[in-house]
Amino acid sequence: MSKKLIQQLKQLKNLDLAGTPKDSWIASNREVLMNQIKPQATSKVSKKSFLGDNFYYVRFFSEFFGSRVLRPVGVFCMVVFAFLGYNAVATMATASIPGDALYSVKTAGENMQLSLTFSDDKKVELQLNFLTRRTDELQKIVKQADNSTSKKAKIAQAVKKITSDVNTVKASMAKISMASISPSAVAVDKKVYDTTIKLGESLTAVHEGLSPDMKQDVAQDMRTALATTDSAGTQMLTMIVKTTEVKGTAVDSNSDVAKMISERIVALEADIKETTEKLNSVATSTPDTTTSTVDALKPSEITDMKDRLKKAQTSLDEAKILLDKKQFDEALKKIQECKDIMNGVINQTPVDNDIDVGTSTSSTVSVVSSSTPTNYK
Amino acid sequence: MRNRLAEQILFLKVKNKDKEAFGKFYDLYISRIYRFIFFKVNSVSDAQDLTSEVFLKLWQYIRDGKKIENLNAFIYMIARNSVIDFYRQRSRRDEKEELIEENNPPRIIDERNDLASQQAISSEVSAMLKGLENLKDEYKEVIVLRYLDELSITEISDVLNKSKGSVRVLIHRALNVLKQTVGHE
Repeated sequence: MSKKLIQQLKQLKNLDLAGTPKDSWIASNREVLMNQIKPQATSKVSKKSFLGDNFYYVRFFSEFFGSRVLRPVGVFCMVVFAFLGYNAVATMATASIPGDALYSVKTAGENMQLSLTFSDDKKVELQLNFLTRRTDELQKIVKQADNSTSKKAKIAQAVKKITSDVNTVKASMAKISMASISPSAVAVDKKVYDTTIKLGESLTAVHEGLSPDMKQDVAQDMRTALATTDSAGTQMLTMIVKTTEVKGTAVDSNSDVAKMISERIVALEADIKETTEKLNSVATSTPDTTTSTVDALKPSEITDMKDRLKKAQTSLDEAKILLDKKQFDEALKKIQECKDIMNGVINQTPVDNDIDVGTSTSSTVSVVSSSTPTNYK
Repeated sequence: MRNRLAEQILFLKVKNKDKEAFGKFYDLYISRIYRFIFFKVNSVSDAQDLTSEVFLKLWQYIRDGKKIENLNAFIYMIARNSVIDFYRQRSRRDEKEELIEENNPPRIIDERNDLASQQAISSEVSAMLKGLENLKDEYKEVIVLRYLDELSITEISDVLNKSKGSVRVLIHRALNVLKQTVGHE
């Protein structure tokens, strides 16, 4: 029906009724108008070049080409260049390491990725992936040939970034545990726990591979990173234990938990053993052969430290018994007690330049040789 | 396509202050502009005066070297503004006269009726004209621009200083109202 209406409307323009002017008026008005504009028109028209009408054709096509072809093509090219440029920068940024100009682009991209992830579980998975990237970056830096101060700075920056990322994971996990206790949450807890173990091993291995000077310079940052990682591991273990107790889940889960706690006990036992041996060697050495700062301790202090190490071992033995009884929560408390005693021993140890940050498979920090003691609760 | 190209070349010549070209432009646009104004003022004499004024104003713009992007839309803009000025001036001048007019039937209908009596027109066309007459001014304006003067949506949006979407909506509404008025289903 609209079509008919439109057709009728179009027909109206041929009717006088719809406002068609009379021919006589059109002609007379034209004459008047031309007379009015005559004196104003003559001068400028001569500007038309020798090209005649072709001048207007050239001008029209240049304007048409400019607005209809060149402008869209230009915009298209800009979009393509921007896209390619972004991709090139993003690709280059992926391979960047701390200290590189594009590293901030890489971290900004990761932050954006995180902000666009809404599921808490997925967010943690993403954060764990980023942690793996951080470890790779650290290893890349360590493999670099130069031994300059810039390398030290890069290592320190990478280690600090790891500490910060681990703290982020810890915060996310705390949020998840508050929200719900579910089998899927336990799976995430285990994933984070495993990552903390691997991360601890990687950090220790990286530190071992450094030159003595560099080892000393980055020791503080490395200890902080290890302590944070260990703390995250402990947090995960506690959460796993709580979840399995609440849900009364299958034996498989219990055996997993028992294995994890057992690993911690073994690692701590190794630390106690190593520390005790060092203290024994100090006690038996002569003053002129001593080189380590540990040797600067008084005999009474060494005896006191040994006693405390024995207490630590006792706590650990109790933890073993509780573990056998499947009282995981109590076992973890005993492990923490042992760790606290170890911290006390570290606090008493004077500064040592030749430090050793980590131990074997343990996710804990080696004690005796720490230059600045760290509490890792 | 050829006509369109010729028109564009003519516009360029006009913009270049070519008197001959302006004459051709006048021939091409006089009926359209007159009709556009006539639908707004509803008086032959006023429409004639205003149309003359519009072409003269356009020439003055061109002579002063002011930038004109789209000549087609620009002349309608001048026409529209001239009509607005016309009503503004008239309302100031003839306040008393207006009061009298309010109590009397509009004179333009008389003019049309005169013409109608001279022409044999179908009842449908007659209804259409009456329907147009009764439309809101902005509806009447878009209908004339779109279907009688055959301006594109872009050109109408330039003339009315509205977005293309608003123009489309306006045309759609105007057609609906007109359809109801003239009795189409």
